[in-house]
Formats: sequence, structure tokens, C-alpha cells
Amino acid sequence: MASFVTDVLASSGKLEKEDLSGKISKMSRKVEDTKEEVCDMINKRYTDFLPSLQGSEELMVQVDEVSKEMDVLKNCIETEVQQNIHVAVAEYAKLKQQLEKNTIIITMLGHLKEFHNAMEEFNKALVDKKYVDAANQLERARASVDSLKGWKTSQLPLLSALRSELTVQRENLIYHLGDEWKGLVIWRLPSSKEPAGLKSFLKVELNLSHASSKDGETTPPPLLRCVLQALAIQGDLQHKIKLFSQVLLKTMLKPLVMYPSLCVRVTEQQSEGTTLALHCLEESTEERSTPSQVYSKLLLVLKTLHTHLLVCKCVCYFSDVSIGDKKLSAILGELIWEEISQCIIHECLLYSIPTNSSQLEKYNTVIKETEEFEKSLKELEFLQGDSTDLLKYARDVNCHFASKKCKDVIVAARKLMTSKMHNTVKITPDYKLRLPKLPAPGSEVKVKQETTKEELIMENTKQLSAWSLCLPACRISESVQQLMELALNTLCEAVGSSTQCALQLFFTVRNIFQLFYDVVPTYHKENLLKFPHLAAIQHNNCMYLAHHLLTLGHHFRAHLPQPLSEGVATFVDMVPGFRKLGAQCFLAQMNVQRAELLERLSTAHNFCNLDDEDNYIAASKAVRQVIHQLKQLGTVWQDVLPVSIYCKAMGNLLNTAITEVIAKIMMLEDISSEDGEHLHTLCQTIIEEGPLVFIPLAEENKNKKYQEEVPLYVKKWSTFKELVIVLRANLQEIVDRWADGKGPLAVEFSSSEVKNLIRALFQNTERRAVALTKIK
Amino acid sequence: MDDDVLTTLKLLIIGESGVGKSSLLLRFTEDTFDPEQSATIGVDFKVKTLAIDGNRAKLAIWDTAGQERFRTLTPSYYRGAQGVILVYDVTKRDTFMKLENWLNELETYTTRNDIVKMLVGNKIDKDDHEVDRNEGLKFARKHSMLFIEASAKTKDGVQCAFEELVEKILQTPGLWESENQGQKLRLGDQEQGGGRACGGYCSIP
Repeated sequence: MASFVTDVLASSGKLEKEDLSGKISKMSRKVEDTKEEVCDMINKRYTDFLPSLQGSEELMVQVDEVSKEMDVLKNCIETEVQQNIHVAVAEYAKLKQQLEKNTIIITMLGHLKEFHNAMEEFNKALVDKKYVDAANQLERARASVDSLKGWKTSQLPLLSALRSELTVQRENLIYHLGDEWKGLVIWRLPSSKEPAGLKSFLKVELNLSHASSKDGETTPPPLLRCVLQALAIQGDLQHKIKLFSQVLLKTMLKPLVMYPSLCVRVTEQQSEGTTLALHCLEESTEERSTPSQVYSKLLLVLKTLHTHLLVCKCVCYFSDVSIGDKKLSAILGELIWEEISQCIIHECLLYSIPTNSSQLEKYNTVIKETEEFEKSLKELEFLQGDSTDLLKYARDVNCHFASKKCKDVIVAARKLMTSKMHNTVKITPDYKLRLPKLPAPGSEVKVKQETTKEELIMENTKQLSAWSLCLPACRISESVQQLMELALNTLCEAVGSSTQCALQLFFTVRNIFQLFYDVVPTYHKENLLKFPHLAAIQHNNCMYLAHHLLTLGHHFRAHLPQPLSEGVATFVDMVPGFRKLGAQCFLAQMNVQRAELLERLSTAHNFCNLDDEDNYIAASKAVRQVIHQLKQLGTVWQDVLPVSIYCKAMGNLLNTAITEVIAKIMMLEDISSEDGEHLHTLCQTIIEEGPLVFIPLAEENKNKKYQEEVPLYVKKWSTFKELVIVLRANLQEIVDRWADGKGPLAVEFSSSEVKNLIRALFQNTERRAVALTKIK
Repeated sequence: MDDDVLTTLKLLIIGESGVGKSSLLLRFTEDTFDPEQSATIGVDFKVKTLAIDGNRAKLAIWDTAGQERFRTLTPSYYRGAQGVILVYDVTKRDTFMKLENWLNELETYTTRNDIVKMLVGNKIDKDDHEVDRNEGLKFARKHSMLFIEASAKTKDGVQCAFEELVEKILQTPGLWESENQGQKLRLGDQEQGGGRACGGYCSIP
């Protein structure tokens, strides 16, 4: 081991030694190099660089000087040149302005020249009656003036002078044109003093003359056309035509629509031109002309106008605004159409609407005629749009039909309601409304009805009377029956009509009844209170209406259109109102009668001291009057009120009377035997004659039944009878009728009442005392 | 006057129109007969005193109208009635058939349950009978009624009908005394009333 370490150490030492010598030699080489380099550097610096530095510094100074000199020169140049530029610009601007001014003056002068030329041309044309040229020239002049106006700079006095000259010339032209127009289109009108009417219109004439034809030129532009064109160019045509249309409407077209006997005659004469004159046809007596008559008359007038007046096609300017090519007939059409179509609708079509649906089909011809009329007008170019008011109106005939129908129906209904009520007709239980036969609603319903019928038969062999649920026999106003018929007819119309129409008609029928409800009680108010007969009729009328309203809706429902068929079509809601109305009316009358009965009885001095003759006469008179009043009521209500109502009413009134009599007698404290006798006589009169006022039927022999039934209708009848018995009875008889509280006397009177009666009737004796003990 | 009567009894005569209700009453009260007897209007009333076994009873007899049209008045007549005579015509079967209806009405309006009923087949003097005696009897039994055939014209059975009815009423405990008792009760004297009712009851053999 040790030998290896020494080896290593020995070798390393040897190595280091070799290395060092190498390094030192390298170092010495480097030092040599560095020495050379430093020497070189120093040489370069001091021999080459410094002299050149000195040179460049000198050059720097020289450059500075030159640049200074340049700056000075530059400033000098700048100030000098700019001054010169300003002067030049100003000079050019001036020159330009002058040029422009000159140009303007030249154009203005051009316009002025043009204006002058136009005016000259115009005057020439005007003298030659070349109105179209004249108008054109004037238009040119106007254009010139307008161009001049474009420059607002100067020459204002000149401009206004030009303008006024233009205006004067324009007026002049228009005046001439108007003059010519007047000569060409001559109206003969009725004087305004005359009352407007058929006769005044007979003088109306329109003359369209051909003034130009006399010149004998081969193809003369008709003067009228020139005039019109000139007017158009001057923008005055609209105004002229408007005036013309107004006169045409007022004096020719409207009278033709309104008076069927008026007719228009067209005459053409070489010298005078064409004349349209109104004259009268004598044979016409109808109140309104038919649409076709009106259409043909109007067409004749308009066609004549078209051929003689309106054929020229004008380029029209209206107050600077061009509305382009438009035929004169179109302008006239626009002006008159709205008014004349309204006039035709209101004066002619309105009256041609049929009154029932059967005529409705025939109305198609009127619609066709209206279409033709409009088509002709379109060919003449009076009309441009498609379907207008007129045709729309005719086509909506269904709607108008319904409206008209409804109006007619309501008017008729009102007339019926305000007519006299006392013309009556008899209604019997077998009376049936004349209901129309409508197709059966559907087979299903039928089957159902049959089954219910069978069930009924199975359940109960006894059937209800055929007359149960029928209105009892009574009298109603003829007018009300007619009213019901009116309602039925209107509903029948509704069944075959369009939905809109049916709805309108249906609600009109409802309105009829509503109207009855409101109008009749008010309109007849006084009479209903004054006359018991009328009150009874009104009662019946209301019940009659209520009775039929119950089923009226049901009868028609299935045949009416949608919302109605689903249950809206009903009158049942009105039934209680009508019943109440009838009841109230009759009750009011009952109260009047009641008050009168009591008033009559009040003159009887409470039936006391009848042994005095005056008292007896007064009481007897009162009783007679009561019977008489009842008898009269019984007569006026006979055959009018239903029997049951009659008996109830009469029974009630008789009951009022006897209740009053009973009360008065019961209040008497002392009744002498003579008093009792008189009282008995009076009461016996009532007992005997009271039932005789019950005569509900016209057949005298059938009334006995109701007279027997008086105890049923008069609540206090048996009470009254007991009282009458007591008035003439002896004590034993009274006790017997009391029968220990088991007799009829005990049913009608209390024990104390009977005791009081006994005390009043009998003197205080032992027998009376015994009798009194029996009344317990 | 009638101090010696034991009680006043309310009797009712009902039945179809024309069976002879009024004739029965006339025969009983006045012992007469009117072949032209008119239809009763509303109601008729008669009083008669009848002696039964030494006891006198005062009868307040209500003769009702048989016609349908007067039926509305009848309910008030039924009140307090103790006996009812139900009449049919032996020569008219339908008057017998209608008895059910009358019983119904009776039940509806009567104010007491123990009312005594007497069925009378009237007009046996006539030949053409349509209702056999046995049928009447059977019907009466079925509805626990007394039964008799009678003729107002020949007097047959009339007196008997009323007498039997009254006798039965008097025998029925609490029917005729009860109202006396009731009256006493109302007066507040309960003991004495009870005693009298008891006495009445014991008097019936």
C-alpha cells in the first residue's frame, strides 16, 4: 500500500514542476504583446487624433456663421411675400363679386324680357280669344315673376309692380273666361222668392250652347273646351265646377230624385246648343220614385253633361299643386257624388226597402240596377272607386230591412197601445194563438215526449182536464190581441231571416212588451182608475200577455239562430212583471171601490136609533146605494173578468160592506124591538140581494150557481147571517144556536160578543140572566 | 129551559151530495119529509134534545153540504164534533165508493181521535139497490163504525141511527165529559174535574 501512495505523491510533484515552467513561458509572451499594443495606442492618439480634432472645431465655427446668415435671409423673404398674397386675394374676390352681379342682372333682365313677351303674347291671344294660349302665356309670365322673386336682393318696387300687373291680367283673363262660361252654360233658375216645391223646379233649364260652331272652321277647338282648359291652367276650374255642381245638385239632380213626376228633357238645336229642361209628367201619382226611375233620369242628365261639357281632358293645376291628369267628369263626380248618393239613399232607396221578407227576394233587381248605375257612372268616369255608399246601402238591404221592420213594428205596437182599450174580444180556454207551424225541432225530442206520455198514462189513468193550464175565459182588448199577433208575425219573420236580422227582430219583440209595460199604465192611468170596466180589461190584458209569454220563447227558440237558440230566446223573465202589473191595476181599482162603499155606508149614522124615521131612511138609502154600486160593478165586470176573479172581487167588496155593517151593529148598546126590526129588514135586504150581484156570466140562467156560492166568496157571510138571525130571535133560539159553544153562533162570535148583543136586544129580566149564563 | 140536559153533543152529517143528509135531519128533528128537498147551501144547523136511558142530551146537529163546491167551508164544522153520521145512498154505488174519501177528510179535520162514527145506508125504501147491506156492514166494521140502513122517507131506522150514535158517545169514556173536564182544568180545579170524569165512566155498565 505505502508504495502506491508514495508513487502517487512522487508523480504529482513531478507534474507540478513541469506545469509551472510552461506557464511562465506563456506569461512572458503575453507581456510582450501588451507592450507592443500600448506603444501602438500612444502613437495613434498623439500623432493621428489631435490634429483632426483641431480641424473640425474650426469648421464648426464656420458652419454656425453660415446658418445665422441663412436665418436672417429667410425672415426677410417671408415678410415680403405674405404681404403681396393678401393684396392679390382681395383683388380676386372683388372681381368675382362683380362678375356674379352682372350675371344676376343679365338673368333678371332675361326674366323681365320673358315676362314682357309673355304679357304681350297674352294680350294678343286674349284679343284673338285664344284662351288656352292666353292662359299659358300668363302662366309663363307668372313663372318669370316667380323666378324674379327668387332673388330677394333688390328691385322690390319693380317686383310688386310686376306682380300687380300679373294679378290684374289674371283677373282680366278669368273675367273673360267667366263671361264666356256664362254665355256657354246658361242656367234658368226659379226665382228665390218662390216657395221651393215641385212647381218652382219646372222652370229649371240648363242650356249648353256651341258658340264656336258659327265660325265655320273645319276642326274648331270648341270654345267651351278652351274656356275650360284655360280655367284649368289658371287653377280656377275647381272653383267654377264647384259652383256649377252646387247649382246642378240643388236645382236639377235632387228634385229629380225627390219628385217622381219630374222628368228631364234634352233638346239639341243647331243654333242654341243642347238644352236640359225639367218638366212634369202628369200620370205619376206615386209618392216616391223607384230606384230605376231615379237612376235613368240621373244618367240622362249626367250623360248629356258628359258629351257636351266634360269630354275634354285637362291638365289641371290647382294653386301650384299639380294633381296630374284628371278628367273633368271625375272632378264633377267627386264634388257631387257624396251628396247625391246620400240623397238617393234617403229619398229613394230608404222607401224602396221592402216591408216583409217575401219582397226581400225581389229586391235583388234593385241591387242589380244600382250596380248598373254605378257601372255607367264609372264608364263616364264620374266615379272611380269600387263599391260606394250607394251600392253598399242597397247590398245591406237585409240590415235595413230589419231596421225598417223593427221601426215599423214598434210604431205599430205603440199605436195599438195608445188606442182605445174598451173594444174587446172574448178569450175562451180553447182559444189558441195562431202560432205558425214550424218544422219539428228534431226526432229526439219527439221520442222523449212519447215516453213521458206513456209514463203518465201508466201512473194515473185520470188525465188532467184539457183546459188545465189554459187561460180562463175572459175579455181582452182587441188591440192587445193584435199586439200579440204583431209579436208573432215579427217572430215568424225572424225565423226565416239572417242572424243579424233575426236578433234585431227578436229584441224588437221584447221591446214591444217592455213598451207595453211602460206605456199602457202611464198612458191610460186616469181611465184605469176611473173606470172599473177598463181596470178589469187591463188586468186581463196583462194576464193574457203573461200567459202567452210563458211559452212564446219556447215555441220559436229552436228556429232562431245561435245565441237565441241556446236559451236567450225567452220571455219568461217578463211574466212576473206582467202579472204584477195586471194585479196592481186591478187592486188599485178595488181600493177605489172599497173606499166608495165605505163612504156610502158612512152616511148611515152607525145604524143607531133607526126608530127615528130620518135615521132609518138614511140607513136604508146607504144600504140601497151599496147594493146598487155592487150591482153595477157586477154588470160591468160580467163576461169580462174570469169567473173566479169575478167572484173573488165581488165577494171581497161585499165582504167589506157587510163587515162594516156587522161592526156598526155590534157597537150598538141598546137596540129597541123596533130598531131590531128595522135592522133586520136592512140586513135581510143585503142577505137577499147581495148574492144577486154575482152575475159573472152573460147567460143569466147559469149564474145561480155563483149566487149560491156566496158563502165561499164572502168571508163574513155566515157571521152576517148569524147576526141577522139573532136580531129577530128569542132568547131560547139564541141559546140553541149557541148550543153550549157547539152551534154556529159560537163559531162566528165570541161569548162576550153574544152576551153584549143579548144585553142590547133584551131588557134586563131573569130570563135574560139565565140565557146569559148559558153563553160561556 | 134546558137545565136538565146532561150535555150538549156536536154531531155532523156528511156524505155525497144527494144521499139524503138533510132529509134524515128533517125526519129526525121535525118528523117530516120533503120529496123536493133542495141542495144544502153551505151548512144547515138544527138543535134537538134526545132522551137516552133517562139522560137527556142536547144535540147540536150540523148538516153539511155534500156538493164539492162547498167543501172549502167544511173544515171549520168538524171542530169539536163528537159524533158523525156518514151517509150513502144504497141505490147509488158511487156514493158508497166515495166513503173512503169522506173518512179521509174526517180524519184530517177532526180534533179528536175517539169521535164516534155511524154509517147510514139511506133510501132503502127504493127498489134498485146497488149496495148490499152486508157490504155496508163490512165496510163499517172495517173502519169501526156503527151501521144502520135507513129511509128518511119511510122513517125506517132514522131515530135509531141518532139514538145509537148518541148512546155510543155517552158510553165512550172521556168523549163527552172530557170537555167539561177540560173546562175545569182550565179553571184550575183539577181534582173535582177528575172526579166527575170518573163518575161518568163508572155510570156506564
